[in-house]
Amino acid sequence: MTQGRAMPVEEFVQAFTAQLDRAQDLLALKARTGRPLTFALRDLAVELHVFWEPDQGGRMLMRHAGPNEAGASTLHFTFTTITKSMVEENTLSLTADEDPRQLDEIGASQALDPHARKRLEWAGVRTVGQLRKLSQNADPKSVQAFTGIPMMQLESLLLQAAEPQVTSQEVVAGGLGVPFLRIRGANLAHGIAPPEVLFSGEPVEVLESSPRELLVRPMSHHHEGKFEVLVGQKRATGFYRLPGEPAPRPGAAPEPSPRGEALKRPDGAQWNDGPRNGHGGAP
Amino acid sequence: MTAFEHLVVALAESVPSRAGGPADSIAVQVTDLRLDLPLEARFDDAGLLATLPRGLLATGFDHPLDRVRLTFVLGGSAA
Repeated sequence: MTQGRAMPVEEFVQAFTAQLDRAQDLLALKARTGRPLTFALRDLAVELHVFWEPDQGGRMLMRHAGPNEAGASTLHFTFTTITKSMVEENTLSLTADEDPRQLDEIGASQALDPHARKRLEWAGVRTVGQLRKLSQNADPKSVQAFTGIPMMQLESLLLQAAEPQVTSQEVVAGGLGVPFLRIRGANLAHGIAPPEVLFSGEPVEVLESSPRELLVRPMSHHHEGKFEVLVGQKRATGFYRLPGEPAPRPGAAPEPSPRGEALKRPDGAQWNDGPRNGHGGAP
Repeated sequence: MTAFEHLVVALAESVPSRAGGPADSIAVQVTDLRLDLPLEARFDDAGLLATLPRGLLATGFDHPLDRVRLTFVLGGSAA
């Protein structure tokens, strides 16, 4: 008989919980096959003999004791049935996190040494929002003592976390056949004034703004290119691509017709007349 | 060795939940079932593999025995 693999406790608890779910499902299945009443598992306790061994990353793994191996630890797990409402009550809501980005997503976190990262994880700090909360409610020296991360490094991490960042975008149906673009990210707005958004260098209308999301109305000639979100002195960029053929830019000269004739504007002037009133011409 | 969840179901199945009936003029119903058993187990990618100890077939080179305590209650109804 093989000894089986060594695994971290949290991985075991996850896998074992999934097994208990499957056991409940199998027992419940019997009730559906015609039996009016059936047993349901209410409590379970298991004692396992294990040895502890660290892996290369410093995680403690548990390995089941093998034959004739003396001195194993006894690990007691007790599981009881909990209801869905209890799970929801005791689960951290991801939507409630003011900044749910993982620490890995901000560049400065790469500079942290793995032990400091591990200590933050043990302290339950996995997202930028949680790091900010930890730093808001305590003075930096206490945080340094608690996490072992030097104050300067922590400040640099928080500064980087405060930079605007675009993480994703989505084209949504807008009015009058012009699609809107929903831009998601972090720190995309600050205060009540909406940020300035430029599409290919041109300002566009910002319909809704919040730190995590912007809704903007591109102009009809915007088809693809680079966009910028300016929040105060800070800037985040991304690339957009909107469906449909690009409409001609206002004042831009259209392609000549196959016969080589210049097309006329509705007012009778030719497109290559040049700008009127000093503006509105093709760049 | 079998997946732990299959062992749990097999244990619940091993005990009749009721006995007797109209023909016997009496019927009894098990309302809860508590089991406290030795267990042979090992870790696997899927979680825990387990079996009840092999008793007389034990070779002397077996894993130390673990223990499992289960409480089942009668519940559920036909859908």
